[in-house]
Parts: sequence; structure tokens; C-alpha cells
Amino acid sequence: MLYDEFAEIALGYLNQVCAAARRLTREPADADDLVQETYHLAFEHYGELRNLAHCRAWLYRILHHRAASRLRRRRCAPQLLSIDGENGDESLPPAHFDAELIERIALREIRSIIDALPVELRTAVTLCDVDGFSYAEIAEILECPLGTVRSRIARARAKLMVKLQAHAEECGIRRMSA
Amino acid sequence: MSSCPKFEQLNELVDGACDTSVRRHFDRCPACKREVRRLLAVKVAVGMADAGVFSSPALRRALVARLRR
Repeated sequence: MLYDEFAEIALGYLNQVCAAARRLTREPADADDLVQETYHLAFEHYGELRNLAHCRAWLYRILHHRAASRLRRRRCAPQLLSIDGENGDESLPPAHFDAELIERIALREIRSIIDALPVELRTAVTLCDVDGFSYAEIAEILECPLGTVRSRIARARAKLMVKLQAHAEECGIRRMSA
Repeated sequence: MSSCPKFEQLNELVDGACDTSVRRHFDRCPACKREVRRLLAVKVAVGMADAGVFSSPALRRALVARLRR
């Protein structure tokens, strides 16, 4: 694979990688640093990428790896994430969630509800729903088992249902037809 | 009709990652169709709520400069 060819494709994903970094760090300056670090590593090790078709997932994998390292350094702890209830029953959705109410909630409110999810759930669900990665690709990016990805995405959506329903009730949001 | 799949399996169906038995059950079960509609609404909301973030021109310039080294 030619360096120029790789560089052109990798830079084509810059906006997406920046958006993913922003979701991880929540700070524009930190996100830019993380993206620089990611691309520097990618440029140095581009020869390790066997298939250019996997370039985007490979960049995300580096990004998440670097983000995890940074977080570990800051926390001085051996684990990146505290997984609360990884195998618990909290993936059950609320029985009374009304999907039509979502359309009446402002996007910025939905965004802040997503931001409030535990980082491991937020990361998995946004890699799936925003970036469009498959479960297998997410497992590779996050370096975790496929079952963990399945569980995190299900739990993230169940939690979002609970929070969105609660938000709609708090704000008195009702169906148009009601 | 077979018993309804777990929430996690319906969640996989939304992402096109479920097995054919779940899909077959879904085709015939109104309760599962309702649940999948709820899940789809959440999936669409997550996709739409992510505001477009664009790289700063300075960052792009820095990376392109790094490329030329």
C-alpha cells in the first residue's frame, strides 16, 4: 500500500474521527490533541493496515486505544472503565415507553441525555448508530468480546428509553394526537 | 408461535445482526414489531442527535504538514 494512498483515505475520515474524539473527550482541545496523536500513530504504522477498506475502523481503534491510555494516565488506575452492572438485568426497557414522544423532544435535549450515559454504553451505541459500524467492527475497535458489544448497545438503548420517557413526562410532552 | 425473543435479540434485529429464527418470529408477532419500532425510534434519535463536528482547519493543516515530512 502506498503512503500517499493511505494518507488521502485516512484524511478523508478526519471529520468523523474528530466527531468521535469529541464524543469521547467532550472537550474540543482535548479532542484535537487526541486526533493528532491518532493520525501520527496511523501515519507511522500505516504498513500494519493490511486492507485499506478497513482504514476507518483501524483509525477508530487507534483513537479509542489512545483515549483509554489517556484516561488511565489521568486516573492512575489500571482499568479504563468501571463497568457497573455489566451482566445485570438493567437492559430491560420500560414497558410504557412511547416512541412517538421522541419526535417532540429537542435534539439538544436528546444529546444531553445521550451524553449522560455511562461512557462504555455511550461509546458502543454511538459507534453503531452514528458511525454505522457493525457489532464485529465495534468489538475490534473497543477490543472487547462481541457479546459485550451486544449487551452494551442493548443496555444503552434501554437506558435511553427510560431517560427519554422520564424527560417527556417531566416536560409535559404529549403525543400530538392525545 | 414460538416464545418472543429477548430484548437483546430484538435489539440486534434493529441493527441487522440477528439470526433467522428471530426474524421469522418477528414477521408474525405484533408485540415484537411494536418493540422493534420503539428500538428503531431510539436508534434514529441517537443518529440524529449527534451534531456534525468538523475538524478545525488548523488541525487539518498540522496533519497535512506532518504528512509531507
